[in-house]
Amino acid sequence: MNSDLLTMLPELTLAAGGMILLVLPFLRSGRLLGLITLAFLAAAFDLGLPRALGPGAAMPVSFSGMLIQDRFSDFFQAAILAAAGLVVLSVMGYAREEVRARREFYSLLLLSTTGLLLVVRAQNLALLYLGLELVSILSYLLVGFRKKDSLSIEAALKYFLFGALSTGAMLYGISLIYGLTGSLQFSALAALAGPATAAPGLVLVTVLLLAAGLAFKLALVPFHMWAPDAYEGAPAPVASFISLGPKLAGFALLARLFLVGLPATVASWPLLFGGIAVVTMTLGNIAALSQTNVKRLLAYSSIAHAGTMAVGIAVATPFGLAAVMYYLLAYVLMNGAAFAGVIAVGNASGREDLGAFAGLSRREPALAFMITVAFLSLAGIPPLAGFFGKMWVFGAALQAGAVGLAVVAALNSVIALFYYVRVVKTMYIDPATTSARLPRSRSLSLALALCTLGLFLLGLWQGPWLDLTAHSLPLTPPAGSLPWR
Amino acid sequence: MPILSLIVFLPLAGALLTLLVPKEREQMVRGIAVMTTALVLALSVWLLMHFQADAKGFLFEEKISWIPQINVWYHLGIDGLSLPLIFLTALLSFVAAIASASIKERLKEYFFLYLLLVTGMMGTFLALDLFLFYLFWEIVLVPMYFLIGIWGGPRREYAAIKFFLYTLAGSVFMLLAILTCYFKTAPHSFSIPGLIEQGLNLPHAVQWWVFLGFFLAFAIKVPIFPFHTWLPDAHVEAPTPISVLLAGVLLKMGSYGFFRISFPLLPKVASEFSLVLAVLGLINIVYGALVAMAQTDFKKMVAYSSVSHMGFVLLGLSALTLSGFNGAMLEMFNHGMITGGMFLLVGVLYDRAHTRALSDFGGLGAKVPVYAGLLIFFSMASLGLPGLSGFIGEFLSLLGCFPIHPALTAASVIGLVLGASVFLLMIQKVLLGPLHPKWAALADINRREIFTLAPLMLFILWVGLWPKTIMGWQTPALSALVYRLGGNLGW
Repeated sequence: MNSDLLTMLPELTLAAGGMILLVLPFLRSGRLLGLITLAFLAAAFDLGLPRALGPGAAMPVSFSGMLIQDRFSDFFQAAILAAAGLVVLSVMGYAREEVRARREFYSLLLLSTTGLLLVVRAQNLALLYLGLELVSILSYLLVGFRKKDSLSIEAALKYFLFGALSTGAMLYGISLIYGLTGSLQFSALAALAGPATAAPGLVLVTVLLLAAGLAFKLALVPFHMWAPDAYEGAPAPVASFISLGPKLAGFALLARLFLVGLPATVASWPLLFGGIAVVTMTLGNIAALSQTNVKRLLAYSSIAHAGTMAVGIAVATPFGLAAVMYYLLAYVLMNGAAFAGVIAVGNASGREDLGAFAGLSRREPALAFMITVAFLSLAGIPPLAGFFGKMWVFGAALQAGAVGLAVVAALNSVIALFYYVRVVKTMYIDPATTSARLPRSRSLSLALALCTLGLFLLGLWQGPWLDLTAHSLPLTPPAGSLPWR
Repeated sequence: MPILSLIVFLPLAGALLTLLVPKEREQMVRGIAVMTTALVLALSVWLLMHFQADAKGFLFEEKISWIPQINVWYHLGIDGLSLPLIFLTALLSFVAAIASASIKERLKEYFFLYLLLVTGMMGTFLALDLFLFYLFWEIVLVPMYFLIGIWGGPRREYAAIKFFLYTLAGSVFMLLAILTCYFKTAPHSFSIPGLIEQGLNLPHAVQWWVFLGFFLAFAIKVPIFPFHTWLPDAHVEAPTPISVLLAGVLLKMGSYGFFRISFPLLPKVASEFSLVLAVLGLINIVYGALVAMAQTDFKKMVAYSSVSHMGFVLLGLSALTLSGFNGAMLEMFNHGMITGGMFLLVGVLYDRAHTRALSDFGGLGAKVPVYAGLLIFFSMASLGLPGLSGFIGEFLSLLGCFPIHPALTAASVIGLVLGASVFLLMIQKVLLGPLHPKWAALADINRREIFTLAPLMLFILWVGLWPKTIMGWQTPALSALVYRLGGNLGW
């Protein structure tokens, strides 16, 4: 029992941090709160390091097999902690005091991150549901954090109702799995393919329900409808968080449940996800074309990116998963930077629409450059990391013979370019409506600078990162299935 | 000395240097750009002097392991195919940097993007690894978008995004083709010489798809009808120096791709595609010339004439004979010089008259005699007057293609007549006839502008009168290519 708890040190640290922040009195400074939160995140990261870097864990499975600790979970936990750190830096530079200086905000953030960390380590469906609900409920609260703003409340309500429905469906699917296999462990999923299943229709329904819950978290079509409203209504740092954290956890789950857990013949789920991916990419990109609110645009862009990553899952190969893992690293950096840019512009003008960005290159050249790097990376322009993420997903699709998926994904990246470039165009080509300089925020500048540098490095010095993804796969891939192993 | 890396990355260093200069020191920014491009030009002249045409393979090769996990190498090399284009790029970059005197605002950003563009162009011509090639190919797009979109004409936003989207659409299909080549070879390799040596053992249908993927990207760049519609908008709206680079260098990236990648990697498909390419070449030549004749905007006329000229490149490519290939490569080099000069001349007139409508002019022959003389010179070069370089390229393309596709070549000869009409009509409208009173105070071309045109004229005359020099550089590499394609070395 004791040693079980020891394996949970990072999660416990964050949970403790969340609780402590709630009860600490008299803390009104956003900066101090942010620094404390960052300290907790760093502590969690450090506590996870000896596990990750050391020899294979002496006890990889803990709590009677409910939690696992392998390289895959370490990879995603590190990414989640980094994403949370990025969000904290962003909120430290956020102008609105009713968010930035509230300790409840940081507490919710830390607790939500704890939920995310649990989800990527889960090996039991009940624990999975617990973790997902922890993340979801706290996300609803975070989205509606600005209690006096009706848009924020509406967004939170939509998110909540939609989420309740989707996770309810997922719970029903989990209960069906228990009924079919007699166990709630992930390892029991393999039994769904066995010859003993005399009810293929029921298996199909189960898989669909499970996919529904995950599709909601990842904002895949047709469970994406909460995303634009939630991103638009939520405070920008929260939008940043819900675009990064749940995506990381969701894809880790997709990999564990479907790639590792379910054989490909069960309800032909690769075909299902292929279809979802195509529809998601296309709908996300086309809907984004007409957006004028940058946060809403980024919401649809996140939907489209989730669709592209779903291609990597749909091909059901180790290479596909490795490509998605690399893509996620790039995605954290570029989306985090994009939202940091939105926060910086919103701080000065109070607006989050395209017009606020007009002429930014004349007023703040460095900021405009960093936002451009983020958006060009989202669009998939080399030598930035976003391009290589897309390239490897296309490669995985081609290698698996899914040429149609690769072509659709490629065409979608052309469509997507239009709305990303429109933001860049507004900054560089449209005349500025004011020549006022933006208020400087050290933490925002730091976040943006780190992301910009990271996007270049992740792209141009890919080797170590590709090695890391190959190293962190949940199952050892057969020789030659990955181009980089 | 890693001269090729210097040629590629000196402009990037210059670009970063311009960022450090304070905004007010405009002369310094211009100076850095001109010095950098002059340095690159000097390096490329050095390359010319030390180039050994009959050496096998690539010269001045640099091969460093870049991402060993995926077998990607930083591999640069030059041979007879890329040498003339490197020199063309260096010369045009230098000339256009001087001609950028007409750019008056946001100079730091302009020259930063300009030098970044030069890096991308140089890298595309020197890269011998498909990964690196694709990287540089795409790196050209972003600065070009900004250069057209910020400093361009009234419809610059539309032209810039059209250019970006169009070219990117082609590029993603090239990416899919590159990835197919990579995954279907064992061991996985992006190396162009490596893939050529290994041979792509792909089923015939897959080879066709890969060829078409590359074809789409190159067709949009060349541009081949019907993928040419981005060109008039981009050329017209771009500022003069950028039009020079667009017409002079970027179009060549497309046809260079055929020579460097499509044809050597997929020789069987190339020979099967010959007829299609010849037909497309014919359409380009005739359609381009006819549409050019119908233009009322001077710059748009020159842009469509570019489409027509690139048709001769396609014709030469389709021939798969040594003369045809020589003609195609020569046409690429010459067109760069000639049309680069034409755009500079259009720019000279536009800077003074602030209009490009051909009907607005007339009688300028007497008013601006030096300008008139230069305009006539470049027009004659463009329509293919023997003695000037345009003739050599067009003639060799037709000569090389005639044995293979006689009917199509005969039809293309009409293009020569049409091309002549285009330019003679333009000369008549601009230089001859009565002088409109509003041009009474028109200033003649000044020394700086003549200085930008002089080197181009020199090469137009040199290649026109003594093409042996340039053909000596490119023939060995082209012969090897013809041999690989199973074409006819005798014609």
